[in-house]
Amino acid sequence: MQNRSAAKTIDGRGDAAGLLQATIDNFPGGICVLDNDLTMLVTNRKFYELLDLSEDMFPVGSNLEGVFRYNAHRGEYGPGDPEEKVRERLSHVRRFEEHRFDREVGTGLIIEMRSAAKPGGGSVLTYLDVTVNRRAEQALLKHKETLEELVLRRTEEIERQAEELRRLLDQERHINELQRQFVTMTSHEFRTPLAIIDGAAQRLQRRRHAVTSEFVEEKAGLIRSAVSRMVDLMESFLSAGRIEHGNMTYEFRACSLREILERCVARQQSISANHRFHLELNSLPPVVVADTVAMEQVFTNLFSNAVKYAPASPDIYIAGYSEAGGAFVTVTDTGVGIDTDDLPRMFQRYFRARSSTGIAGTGIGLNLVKQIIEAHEGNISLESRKGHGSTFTVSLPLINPMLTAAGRGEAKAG
Amino acid sequence: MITILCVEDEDDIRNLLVEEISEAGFTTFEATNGKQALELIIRKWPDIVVCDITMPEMNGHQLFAEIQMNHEQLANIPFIFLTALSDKDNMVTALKAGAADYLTKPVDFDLLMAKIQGCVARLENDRKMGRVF
Repeated sequence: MQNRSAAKTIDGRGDAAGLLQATIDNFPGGICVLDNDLTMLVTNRKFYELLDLSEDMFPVGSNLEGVFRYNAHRGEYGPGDPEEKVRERLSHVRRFEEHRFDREVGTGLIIEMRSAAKPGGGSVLTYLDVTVNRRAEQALLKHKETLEELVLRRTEEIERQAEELRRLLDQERHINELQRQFVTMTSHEFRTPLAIIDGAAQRLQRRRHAVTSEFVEEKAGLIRSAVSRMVDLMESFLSAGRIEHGNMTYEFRACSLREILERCVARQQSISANHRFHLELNSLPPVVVADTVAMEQVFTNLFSNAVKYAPASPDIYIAGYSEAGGAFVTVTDTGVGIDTDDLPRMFQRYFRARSSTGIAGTGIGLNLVKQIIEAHEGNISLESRKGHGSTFTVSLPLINPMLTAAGRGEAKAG
Repeated sequence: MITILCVEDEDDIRNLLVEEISEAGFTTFEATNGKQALELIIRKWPDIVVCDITMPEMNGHQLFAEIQMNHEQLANIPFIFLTALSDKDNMVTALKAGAADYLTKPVDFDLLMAKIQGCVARLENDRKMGRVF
């Protein structure tokens, strides 16, 4: 509107002021035109309706400050000093700058309020009911957020499931690989003594017409030691099976650990002529409470391991002593040793250390040893350095609590 | 004189093999693992190697591969693997790599000696034809 005479009509037809009023009254939003001293020059019905004001209280010609004060006092501008709120609004509106904001009024409507500078000073304020739009936008936003959260949650869940699946699959693969190795190595372990027995028998057959008694004696010795190796192997498998199914029974009785150790060393020495066993057993307690057969299995396993994993280091050290209510036996070899990474898994069934590559074994021996020792309320620990050898330390309590508990000198593991 | 190297970490098995093979008129050497065997092969240049697989230090597969890769002049020495590993994977690995044969323990000595005689026959034929290495 260039002309200061408010509104123009074609050929002066009609009443310009009346037409203007009709136009602004039928405008779907509220309108309030202010002079530069904030006097309300023009208003429409919608203005009063949207702001919930009475036209009688704030007719054209009154000052907007009155509206501010009225609103401030009825709490439209929130808590706080009403006069302070009025001052804030006055200083804001007096800048006559273009601005736009939403306000939720006391009636619950959301009103978009705009201000535009009026040519010649003052401003035009317009008010639009945007309740439906804003509520829809909010709902949409909320919905979007909910959806995003849902998607995020589902994605996380799927990722977690995928991770779990991967883990299980890896585990499955690992177990399959261990079992495959176990089957291969078990076959290998049985075939080796069988090869000795069969080889010795074949040699006897070939010389049947010119055989000396020494020859027979030597070959029979080979056969017998191979058979006892197979029996040990079988016993290990049977015990492992019994332990797995909770069927292992122990007969706890007072026995001499020293005698057990000496028997096992003698047996091992007879099949490992190249190794030297150094025994230091003088400070062992005279008596422990244990299952003799199971203990022999423990030390047979530990001694044969010491020999097996130290093919080029002939010295094996076995020391026994008592300390802090327990009997301790250490078995030390200076053989291939174990990688630090492998140490925590050494007593796991079927596990074989990387340094055992090329050395036959099934991976059940140490697991069996640990289970037997634990059934005796004892402990087994391991120290090792790759390339320098290993030390296994077995400890047994001097008074076996299971003996006391079982009362009959017999207990069941499980 | 045909010389045969027996590579075997199990003393009892190695002793029986050496007894059997030397009684058949061959000169034998012994090694208890792949590393020892490699040294002996380089030093003594045997005609045939009878070799275990599962051994400490260096196993039979590794020994054979080492000779094929880094000792060209020795690569034609026939290897007869004699092992307690009866699975197909190990057999395939050895035969693919060029092993003369793969026998599993326990082995029939007649069969082992027949395989050795077969290698000897081929060697003698090669020598007659002037294909001496």
